[in-house]
Amino acid sequence: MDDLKQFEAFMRAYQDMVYGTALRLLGSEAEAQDIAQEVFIKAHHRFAELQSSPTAGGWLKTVARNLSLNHLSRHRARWTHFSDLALPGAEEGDDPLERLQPPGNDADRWDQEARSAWVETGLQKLPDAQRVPLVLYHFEELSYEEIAERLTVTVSKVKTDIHRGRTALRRHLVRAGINLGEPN
Amino acid sequence: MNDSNRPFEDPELHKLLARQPHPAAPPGLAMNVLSRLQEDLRIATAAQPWWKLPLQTWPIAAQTPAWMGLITTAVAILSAPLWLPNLIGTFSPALGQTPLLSGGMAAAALLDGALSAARSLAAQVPSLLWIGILAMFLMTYAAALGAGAWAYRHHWPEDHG
Repeated sequence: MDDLKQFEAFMRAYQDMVYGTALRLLGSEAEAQDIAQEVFIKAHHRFAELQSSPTAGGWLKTVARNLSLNHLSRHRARWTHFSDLALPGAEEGDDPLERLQPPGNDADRWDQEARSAWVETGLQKLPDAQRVPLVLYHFEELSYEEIAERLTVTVSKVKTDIHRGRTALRRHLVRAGINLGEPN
Repeated sequence: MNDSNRPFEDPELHKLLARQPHPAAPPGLAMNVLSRLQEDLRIATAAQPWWKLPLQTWPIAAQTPAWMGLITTAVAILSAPLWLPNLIGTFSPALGQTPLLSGGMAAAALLDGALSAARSLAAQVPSLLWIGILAMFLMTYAAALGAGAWAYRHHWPEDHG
């Protein structure tokens, strides 16, 4: 019982990071929750080792990332060819985030929390083919080559997908009044 | 991998994304994991035969003789110096003469003698005397405690306000 109490405290310390990593990669709250549960079940098997390890956070993040990518390739098998296929009813240059409504101009509501939520919503609504490499690049800080290897696609496809994702995300931000200036 | 000092394409967007806080996990996540762990433990426990589980979870019919056997074994082991040399000497007088066993028998006899002497000495002391000794001990303890508390309060008054 003591072990479970300690493990609960451990989980509460890392649950946002684990869930957030899975959510950004999967774009689905339900699937992210399933993956986060799997990560912590695995962590419990190695809790004696992780409990006092300074690299516990890194281990959890890597496991969350790998399980999310495995889940995507096993259950969806979409992102590998998503960008090569037209979405139903979509034309070239269509913005997948266009239908999202930004919050109103109420300054009290448009605080840092709301801005963060708007960014996360934009990420979640990106197609898998754009979101997954974009998250691996900007959040997981993998190189183009590492992403290409992990996703078993070419480096040029990774660059194209990330570029499309960034463009869509920037437009999404501009709609809410977040202007980042021109990309370098 | 994970070299955050390397230059990123679109640094403005990268900076914004890097500063994003993690989305909050659903409130029930930790409880769901704990429930699953407890369920896994319950299933694993249920799959095991009773004799592989901890002794205190055995059926009473098996637990009672098991506890009695354990206690008997513990008493037998602890009192082995008293009875083992005699037992060996009874069955095999020649073996009882070996230096190790004869030494053991001598030690056992010495221990037995000391215990008997202590028992007879205690029996000779009247019970009223025992009560007096206990009362003296308690009074001395209380007096020492009181003296210590008095010394502490008068010699280090700043330490206790």
